[in-house]
Amino acid sequence: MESVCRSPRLGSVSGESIGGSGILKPQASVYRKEGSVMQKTMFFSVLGSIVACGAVAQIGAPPTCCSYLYTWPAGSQGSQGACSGREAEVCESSSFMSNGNDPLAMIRGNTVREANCYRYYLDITQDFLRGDCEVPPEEGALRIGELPDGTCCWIIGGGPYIKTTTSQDYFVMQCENDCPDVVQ
Amino acid sequence: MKRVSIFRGAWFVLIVCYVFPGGAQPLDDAESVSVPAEFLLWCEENRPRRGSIIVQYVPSEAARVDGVLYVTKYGFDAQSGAWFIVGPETSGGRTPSGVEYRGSRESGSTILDGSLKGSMPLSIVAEAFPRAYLVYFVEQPRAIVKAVSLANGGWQVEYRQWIHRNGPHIVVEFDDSGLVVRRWRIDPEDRREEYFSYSEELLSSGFEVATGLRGSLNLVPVEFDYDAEGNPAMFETSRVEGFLRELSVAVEIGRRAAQHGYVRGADGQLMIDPDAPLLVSPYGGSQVRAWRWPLFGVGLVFVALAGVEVWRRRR
Repeated sequence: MESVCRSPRLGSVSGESIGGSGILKPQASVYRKEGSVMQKTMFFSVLGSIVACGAVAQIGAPPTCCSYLYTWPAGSQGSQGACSGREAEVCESSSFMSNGNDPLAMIRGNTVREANCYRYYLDITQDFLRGDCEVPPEEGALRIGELPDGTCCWIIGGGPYIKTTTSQDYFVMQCENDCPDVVQ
Repeated sequence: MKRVSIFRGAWFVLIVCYVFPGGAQPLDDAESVSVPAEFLLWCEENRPRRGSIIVQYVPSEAARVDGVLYVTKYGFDAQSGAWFIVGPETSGGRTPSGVEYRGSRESGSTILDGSLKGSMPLSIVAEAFPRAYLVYFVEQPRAIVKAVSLANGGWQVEYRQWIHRNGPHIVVEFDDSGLVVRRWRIDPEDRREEYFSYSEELLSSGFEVATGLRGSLNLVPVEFDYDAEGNPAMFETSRVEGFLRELSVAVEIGRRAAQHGYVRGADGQLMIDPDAPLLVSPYGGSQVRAWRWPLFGVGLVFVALAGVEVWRRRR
């Protein structure tokens, strides 16, 4: 969707400066009255068009979300790095320029954004397992995120896992839309 | 005394028949089983027979996450073998009638699925109630790979966590009273050795409660609901679903309170943090965030217009 937003041309105001002070001295009262109406009209036209443009830009943008990968911050991983051991902290992280459908993404830069981080605590019977993103490695396996190499990390094992959620400031590409808690 | 000896004799015969069936009963995999009958007899003697317990765990002080209290409930009914573990995100367990289930906050419901059969063994809840192992081994002797008696009167048992699929074996070590001392996985890369310590509550009751669960989360028991007669109704899925909802809501309230500058006092109640320099992040809502750049742009345009106007008038 392409929208063209034009601001009305700015009019000119007659007058002369008093002693170079920058204060305008009106030449005649009729001009002052006409100028005042003109200025008000222009003011509200400009304001209206700008607000309309902003609204179109906001509403017209498809409801995009971060097409994000997950990051596994160090310090909570097993001996095999990400997706191993008995604890994992997994944080959402948006990919470059979101998914490209958001026009505002073009003018957005890197920014600090509050991202959700999830920490999973497994019991002795449960494991993390790398695998295909679409095919669960076993019945009831839970996909917890996508790894940078394109594979996905799953939790396998019978018992309930325990999960906590924190919000952390992350330096990511800005994406104003909310991301779902878990990508399924 | 005579009744006890008749009882023991009957159990011994039953166990010998089950464990050494003359090779007539095939195992699910090819691993040989070496289970001394005395071990199962010992399990039978030390297992809790009746009564139920529900314990509420919270992370230890050092492991609190953003001041939010993540409560997890563990339950175990000795007579029926029903159990559950339920937290703010997930639940799972077995009903008194033996149906295994899972539930999650996201799905909003509990899954009662026959395909789960065997994937939710009673041994899972033994992390909180270690004597549940004794019930489990009597119930599932085929899970046992090896049981060795120790000099101190205890036992060391290697068992398969999953009977129907592969996975690392687990070794659990009992003292002479049937309490678990430690356990570990037979996996050189991920041994996960755990030493058990117990709460002062309910010691010697047959329902001893372990403390310090789930690694660095370090769950500690804070509330005990013990019923010596047993209360199987508490283990129905409707009850566990209720717990899941209750715990989820509590976490959501805690998270929102933390975002708005509240902390938990020593009594567990929410209070405004007196040390917080800024209690509320201004203009932090998603609606405001979405509009802040257009509003900023409008502001810039007006500043520019004002500048142009001043410049023109000066001319």
